[in-house]
Amino acid sequence: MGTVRNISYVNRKEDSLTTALNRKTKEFNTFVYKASHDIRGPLASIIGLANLASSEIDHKESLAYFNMIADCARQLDKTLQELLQVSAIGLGEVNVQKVNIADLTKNIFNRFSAIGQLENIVVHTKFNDIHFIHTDSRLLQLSLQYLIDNSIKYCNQNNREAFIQLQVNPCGQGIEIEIADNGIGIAPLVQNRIFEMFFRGTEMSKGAGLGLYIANKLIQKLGGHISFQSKHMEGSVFKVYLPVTEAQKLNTVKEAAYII
Amino acid sequence: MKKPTTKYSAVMLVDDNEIDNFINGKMIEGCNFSDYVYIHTSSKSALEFINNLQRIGDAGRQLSPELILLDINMPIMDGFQFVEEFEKSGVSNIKIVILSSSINAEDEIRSKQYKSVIGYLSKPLTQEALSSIGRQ
Repeated sequence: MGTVRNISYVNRKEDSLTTALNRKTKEFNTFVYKASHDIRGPLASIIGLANLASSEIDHKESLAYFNMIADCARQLDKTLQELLQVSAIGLGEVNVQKVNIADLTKNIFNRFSAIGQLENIVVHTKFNDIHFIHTDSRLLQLSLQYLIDNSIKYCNQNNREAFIQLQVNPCGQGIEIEIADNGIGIAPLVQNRIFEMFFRGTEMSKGAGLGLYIANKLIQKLGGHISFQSKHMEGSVFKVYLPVTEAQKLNTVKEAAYII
Repeated sequence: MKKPTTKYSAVMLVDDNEIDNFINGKMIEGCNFSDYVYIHTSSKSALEFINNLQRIGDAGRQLSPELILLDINMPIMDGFQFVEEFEKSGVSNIKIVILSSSINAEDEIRSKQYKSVIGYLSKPLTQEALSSIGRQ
């Protein structure tokens, strides 16, 4: 009798802890959402006002100041968005659906080319008969976006034949998305630290040191992992491994989603 | 300045932030996006204005905005509540574009569920974004 009572006591205690945790998670979600609006709102206004000033003011010195204000505000905005993504990764659910990988990557490259970032870089893509994968398209796209953003940012400015090559290959129980470039590469000394939070591996970095950290966490959340090889001043190859997720495996992915 | 693809006779801004209304009004003026800009700092007053226009028939239709740029996060009645009330009133000659500082993907997904909402823009409003309206 004593044992039965103890078990039901433990179960009850576990239930109330789960409820408390769910409530806290919900509270934190609301907090992040509110904070994103309350911080991003005024920031967007600053950028908007600086844009307006740039289009209306002729005075050269003033114009330079307004452009610097806009640049700083945009930088802060980018960092804020990254911080929000970090918290979203921890809280959000993984929504696995059928994803057309060619469309997804095309979408990413189109975004970069729309803002003029691919003007001096040739992009090659190769899908090797892999058309659809089952994963969370939003998380995968965000992660690949960070990797490609790095290939663009750290391309070799002196190389007239800068390229980014993306290919998808079957790999064991899953697929591998490979992103290769002939950019400046990663210095050997910092190679073991590039996935750390807030780590910046080059003096050229203008960001907060969150890009690869986020990319890596996103892929882990999808049950995969990222590896890389890089030669300083020659280029880098990043390989994103994703497991094949079928309907019956969904539950394990959902559980894995909360490990961060 | 860049010419937008669509030109409106009247556009309505609904946003509790007056600085943003100033920026957005100037942007619209700067690229000749619309002849007139109506500004409302609350969902309630914007709805009242639209309802009054509906009541006065032809004259109201002439004055009516063709497009509403709508903020989401506003006190008392937020942008989504506005859209719901607006759709209940049965007005069909006005389209809505959400203009928000929110970068929460769920807001964008939610906004697509409303048939009167034809676009989602992130603040700050730029002339490129204005010219993308209707092409999204």
